[in-house]
Formats: sequence, C-alpha cells, structure tokens
Amino acid sequence: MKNVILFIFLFVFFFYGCKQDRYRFKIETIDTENLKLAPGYYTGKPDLPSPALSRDGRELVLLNIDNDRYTLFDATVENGEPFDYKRRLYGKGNQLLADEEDFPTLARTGLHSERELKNTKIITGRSVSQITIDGRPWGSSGVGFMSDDETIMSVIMADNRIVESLGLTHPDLARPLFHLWNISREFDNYSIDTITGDRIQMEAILYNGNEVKVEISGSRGWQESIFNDEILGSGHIYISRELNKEEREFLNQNYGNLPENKYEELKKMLFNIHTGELVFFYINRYGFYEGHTEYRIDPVAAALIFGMRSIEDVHIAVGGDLYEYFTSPFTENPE
Amino acid sequence: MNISPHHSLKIRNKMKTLCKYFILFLLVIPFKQASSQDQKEYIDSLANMLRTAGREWNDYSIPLIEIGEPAVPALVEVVKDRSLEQWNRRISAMTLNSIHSSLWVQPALEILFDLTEDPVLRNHVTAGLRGFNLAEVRDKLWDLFNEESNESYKSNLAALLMTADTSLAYKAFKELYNTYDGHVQRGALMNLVMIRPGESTSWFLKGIQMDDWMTSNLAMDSLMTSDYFDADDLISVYNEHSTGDEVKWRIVCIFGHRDEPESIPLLVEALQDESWLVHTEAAVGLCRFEPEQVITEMKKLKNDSRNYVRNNSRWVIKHIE
Repeated sequence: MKNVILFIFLFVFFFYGCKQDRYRFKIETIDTENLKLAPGYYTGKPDLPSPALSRDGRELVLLNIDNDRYTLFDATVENGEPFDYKRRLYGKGNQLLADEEDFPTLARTGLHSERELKNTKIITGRSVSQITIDGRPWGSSGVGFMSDDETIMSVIMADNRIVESLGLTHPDLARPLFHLWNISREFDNYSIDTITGDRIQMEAILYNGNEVKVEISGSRGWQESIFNDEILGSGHIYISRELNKEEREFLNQNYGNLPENKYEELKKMLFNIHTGELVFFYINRYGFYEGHTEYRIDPVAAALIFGMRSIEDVHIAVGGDLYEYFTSPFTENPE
Repeated sequence: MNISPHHSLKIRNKMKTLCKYFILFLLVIPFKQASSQDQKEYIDSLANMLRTAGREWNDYSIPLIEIGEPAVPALVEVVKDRSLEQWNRRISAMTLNSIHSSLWVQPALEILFDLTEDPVLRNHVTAGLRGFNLAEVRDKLWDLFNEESNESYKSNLAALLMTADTSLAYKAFKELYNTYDGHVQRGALMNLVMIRPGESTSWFLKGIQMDDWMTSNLAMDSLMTSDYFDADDLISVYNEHSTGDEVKWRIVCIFGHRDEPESIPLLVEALQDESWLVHTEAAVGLCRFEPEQVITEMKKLKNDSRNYVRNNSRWVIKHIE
C-alpha cells in the first residue's frame, strides 16, 4: 500500500511538477464563479489580478475597452486548430509546442542547457549554418532574422543566458505575447456592444499592473520560417507601454549621463516592441527571439513591459548597462 | 436463281437495318449542325461578356478555356477590338494564352510587334506564344529584346527566343543574368544551363558567388544534384584566398550532399576552417557518409590543438556511429 501511495505521489509530482517547471513566473489563481467574462463587462476597473488563472486552468486577462469599461478575456495559451496563412486556417496553432527532438531540456524546463546548445548542429533537420545563411539580412527576408555578424546559435545562446539571469523561462516570455495575440485575434467577435450596438475599441491590456498598448496591422503575403516547421508570419505587431514614475526616476539616476538621443533610444528599446507573430512561436519552441533586427522581441523589454521584472531587476540582469546590452550584437557561438 | 424463304428473310432484315441507320444519319446531321450552332452562340455570348467583364471575368474565361480551340476566333476578335478597355482586352488575351492554340500565334505576334499597342497587352501575349516555333520571327524578337528596358518584358522575350533561335536565347539570358537580380537572374540561370547543360557547373559556380540569395540558393541546390559536375572547378574556388565564408559554406554544403571522391577530403579540410559557418556545415556534411569512410580521419582530429576542431570531430564520431 505504501508503495502505491509513493508511486502515485511520484507520478503526480513528476507530471505536475514538470509541467509547472516550464513557467517560473506564476499566475495568481482566482475564483471565476461570479466574474463577468467577455462579452460581459465592468464599468470601472475591477479589483482583479491580470493575468489570472481560473480553477479549471483557463488564463484570463483584463482588457480596458472604451474609456472606463473593462472585460475579462479568456486568452489561454494552448495548442489549438492549425494556424496556417497558406491554407487560410486561423486557429491558435501549436502555442505550447517546444522542439523536444533538438532541445529536450528546453522542452522539459523552458530553458536551454548550454551543453545541448554546444552540440546543436541541426535544428528541425536543417543545419544551423543553413538557418544562419537564410536568416541573415537579404536571405529569406530583406530585414533578416539576425544581423550579419550573428548566427542562429549565438543568438539562441545569448538570449538563453539573459532569460536565465532574469529568473524567467522562454515560455514565461512567450505567454504574455500569446495572450495579447489570442485576445487580438478573438476581439473582433466581441467588439460590438450588444446593448447599444456601438463599436468597442481595445484600449489596453492590463498586465501585472501595467497598461500595455497593442497595435496589429496585417501585410500582404506571409514570411516563411527559417526552420523546417509550419510557422508563418504576416502581421506587424507593436507593443508598448508608458514608463511609470519609479522607472523614470531609475533611468534618470542611472542613465541620465547618456547623450539625449541615446537616452531616448534606450527608453524606446525598453518600452517598445515591433515584431511579428512568428516570433511568439519561435520563443516557445526554440528559445529564439531573433537577433538584432527590427523584429526582435528583446526578453528584457518583454519582461519589463509585461511587468514580470522591474527596471532595477533588468538593469542588474544585464550586468548594469542596459544601453550596451541593447546595442551589442550576439557574436559568440556555443562550441 | 432460287431464293429460299430463309434467305429472303435475312435480306429483308439487312435492308431494314440499313434503312434504320440511314434515317438515323439523316437525323444526326441537322442535330450536329444545331449543336455546333448552339456552341457558337454560347462562345459568342461568353466572349461578349468578356468585353465588359470586371472581377468576375473568370466566370466567362474558364468555360471558354474548357471549350478550347473553337473559342479562339471569337476571343481574337475581342482582343483586337481597340475600342474596348485595356483590361478587357488583357483578360481575353489571358484566356487565349490558357487555351494555347496555334490559331492564336499570328494575332499574338501582330500585337507583340505593334509598337502602338498597349505595352501591358504586348507583354501578356508572350505567354500565349511560348512553346511555338517562332524561327521565322527570330530577328524581330531579338530586335525587340534589345529595344526593351523593362526586365519582366525582356525575360518574356528571351523565353520566346528559346523556340526561335537558341543561340540568340543564350545571348539574351546571358545579358539578363548579368544585368538583373532576384527572379529574373534566377530564371536566366535556369535557361542558360538548359540551353548548354555542359556549361552548367561553370554557370552554377558563378551563381553561388552571386550576392543575390535566390540565385545562389538555386545554383547551390542545382550543384548538389546536377549530372554535370566538375569537382576541381569548385575546389579551386574554395581554395582561392579571396573566397568569402558564405561561398565556402556553399561549396562545403554541395560536397556534403554529393558522393564524390573529393567530398570527404574537402569536408575534412573544411572542418578545420576557422569560419563557424564552414566548419559547422562540414561536420553536418560528414555525417552523411558511411562511418568507415570518415571515422579514421575524425579520430586523427580528436586531439587537435584547436578547440572547435576537437569538438566537431567528436561530434561527427558520436553522430555517425
């Protein structure tokens, strides 16, 4: 009998524990029984955590719609119907899938092992040099997926180090991005007020106490993936938020000696992201945020914008010089 | 002559059958005439719809394409009608191109060589002329190719020269290859090696040294599988001092996919190249060969003084075994 109990305990521990291990940033669980989920809404900001987890495992995010109205949206990150521009399929796609074959540690823990990275010469059946050539500017896209002096492995390794020093995992950083993506995709279904018939605008997403602005615009055609996978991208996604008082003071205190243009550039790099949805999938699946290109989702910026880490935390995580961090390409290869 | 009642019955039956067929024949002629009359009316009505059609033009074009050659004269009339909007002439020309009938060749050539015609229509008709023998108009095609500056139009004219005069086509594609990039350069490369397969290694070797990603990828992929392959040419480019990492990487990639006597020696050399792109690709390439061809060389490098050489040779051993 003791053995059976031990077995059950171990089974639950390993399965539940392994699943939870991919996320280090925990979301508060709330009772959703009396809550108004979209299309219902609150007048005035409700006193609710956002994001929040319902008891049945759904991930809920609070949105500010039209001035003083708020709604709670089910934005759960999950594997859903196929997402494929070519076949005009617009499901959620594989939002939780990690590349277990090439990166077993990433799939298990949400972070790469450097030992595995040092031995990675093939990803999804393509050589890492081929992916690098295709991913550089004027390869498979004009802007590229990394700069001319970076490689796929130098970028993955550098970002893995920074995410680890932030005390987060790649799924932690992919989750808020998928949340806003899931909300934006579904929001049109709820964008008409059922009583007045008025059009409802999405003002901002409330995330860990921050108001995050999101703008998504489509483009003609799509961008093919540099990996041998089903991932495609098409949209331009702009994510930003305003600095709060403490952040302003911190930046003034620690970076006030930068020339004005560099200081403004730093603020922009910290609180603005321009990217495509393809990168959301890349982060969770490969721990790849793109190199130093205009589509990069910097993990530091994402952690800060979505309130997973404070300005002080990220300053320390990068070794005390955020400007240097943001402007230096990742050129060291793991080998 | 006596005819038995049995024979008489047989003859009567035969006569009856003949009469039946004759009556049937008399009935079929007008029916057939009526049927072709119906088809003509149907074609005319569809062709007339194309005179004013907008975005729904495929509703008329597709049935005409299915009818095929009988629809050509009516469509040619529409294309020739200069009083129509250019759009309607163009969609009619596109329908004719899809039917791809020899009846369209002469009218299409008239449009192509008429400098007063709509330039877009002139470009469109080239698609309908592909594959037909155009030897009689080769000089006019060549003149037109030289007069034009639009890269897409020039490409289409060069494609027509393929069935007019292959030596002129070769000259045309050579010019396109050296002047443009992207799709035009890539298309020109394919045609150059199609005309002179014996020169393919030389053309593809030039291709992998091009800045244009599309052309160099096509050239690299082609060299991986081409029947015409000269390993020495590639190796001499690899060994040139001025050859950049990306071109070296492409050459390594090609040898990694070809079972040539020179493949393994080149890959072993490349494994020791300082460039990450080159030595990483060499390691991946070596794993495609049989272990007994590779292991001995790798074991020699296992204790090399250079860290990346040691790591890569060990990686190859681990993955190949």
